[in-house]
Amino acid sequence: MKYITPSKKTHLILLVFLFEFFLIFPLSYGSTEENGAKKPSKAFWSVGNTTMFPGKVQIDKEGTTETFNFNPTFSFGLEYPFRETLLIIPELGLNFSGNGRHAAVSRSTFFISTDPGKRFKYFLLHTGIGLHWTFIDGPGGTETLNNGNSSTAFYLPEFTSISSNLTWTHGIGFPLDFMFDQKNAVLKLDSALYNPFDSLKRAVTYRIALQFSFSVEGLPTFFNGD
Amino acid sequence: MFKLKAFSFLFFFVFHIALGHSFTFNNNAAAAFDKDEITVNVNDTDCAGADSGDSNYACNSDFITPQKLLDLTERAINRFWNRIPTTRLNLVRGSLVSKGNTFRRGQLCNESYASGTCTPNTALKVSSDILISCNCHKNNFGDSNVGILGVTIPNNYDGVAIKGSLILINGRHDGFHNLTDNEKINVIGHEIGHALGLGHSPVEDSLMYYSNIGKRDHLGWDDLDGISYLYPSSQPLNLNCGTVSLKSPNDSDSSESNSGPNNTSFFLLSFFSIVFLGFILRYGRRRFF
Repeated sequence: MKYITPSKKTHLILLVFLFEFFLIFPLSYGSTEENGAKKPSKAFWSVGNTTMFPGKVQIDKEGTTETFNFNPTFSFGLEYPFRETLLIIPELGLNFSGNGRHAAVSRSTFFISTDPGKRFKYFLLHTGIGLHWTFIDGPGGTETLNNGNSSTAFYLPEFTSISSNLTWTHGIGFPLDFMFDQKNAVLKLDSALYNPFDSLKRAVTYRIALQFSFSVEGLPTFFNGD
Repeated sequence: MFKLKAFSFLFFFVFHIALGHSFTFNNNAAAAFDKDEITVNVNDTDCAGADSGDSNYACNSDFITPQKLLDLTERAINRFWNRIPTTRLNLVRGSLVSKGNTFRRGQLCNESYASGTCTPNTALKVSSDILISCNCHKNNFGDSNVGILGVTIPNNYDGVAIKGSLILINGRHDGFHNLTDNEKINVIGHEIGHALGLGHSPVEDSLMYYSNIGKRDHLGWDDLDGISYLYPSSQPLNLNCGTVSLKSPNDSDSSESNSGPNNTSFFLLSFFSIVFLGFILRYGRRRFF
């Protein structure tokens, strides 16, 4: 007889997921003032850096793994107030990945997410599910490389390959108004967990970004309209 | 506010430098296996001391057993190729298979290793998946030790789909035998990369670099990108297809164990989706409708 036995890490991830999920929603509902002033919907854009898969990739002969890598990231999104402090935050973005070691092949990642979030006094928490598409392409042709005791022409990628991954996203945002008097700026720390239930393929990316919000005339008010 | 915006634009554009990696393929069609789960089997023929009097096929007297080779293979696939987050590929430990002496004595290509060309020897055609065998033919590794630890070729194609790949580990000389277990795992991992369709990388920290480096516990960016290119994941559609892992309670839970994707994720995602929808309907109803 056989049993399904998720690893200990999987159990830990499930616990964190449950904690976040059931903390944000019930607390948010309980603290909502039904007749409180409604916050308007907003749009935002952000610029920052995403570190892909820290601890997963070796970067030198000594076996060092990467804890930070530079992948400029740009995103655009909306904040729909759902209740007084509860938001739905659809976001889409693009990061240009790579380590700059070789220009033959390029990699970039496009992502979308629609996270529910909870606004607290000094920060905003959000968690949800996202999709990440990784685009890898190259110029074609060959590259002559060492092969045993001689050299051989190996083939470079010619077309674009797209990997799509479902991710568990979560993050925290700190409005900068109380620090720098920037009413529409937020410091964001986000992460996306790839393959949360596969102990081998599990990997994380994290993003540090500055977000700028602005009101948009005519933005749909589905979530905050009576 | 203007300064913050100016800084962020600068941050984005100044550092958007030439990016990318440099993995390659071992064929011009970027051929790959046409399935997600690939089994790696090992030939059960023992090489140690075999054909000791024959100058063409003589094996090293101390070569590791087929069982040990299979165990190292499992560690190689779980240390390297099963850890890539952006691929659908899942390698599975196979079993010892009886192939007789053909794969121990056979020549990988019709030409000698020194000729620089390779026409696959059809007698060693692998019908499906990946087969690893020790091999002692002098034309594969040289009459004297020239440092070749293993040779690999996908030798069974259907169009641009690889059907079978053969890995021959050098059982003739003591180069492979004298390596530590970790180094043996790296060599096997490198050869499996070729079996999957990858060529060499010019980057020293990649597993697909042509030479074995001393300290290796993870893949490099080239390896990760190369496999993601050949075997891209397509979630959420293939979230649980064909990779259900049923483990007995006695199975170890080491970092290299093949826990793999399992159908727990399907049930949990479904559960949370239902909870989420229920929440929206329950508490959003008064607002929305």
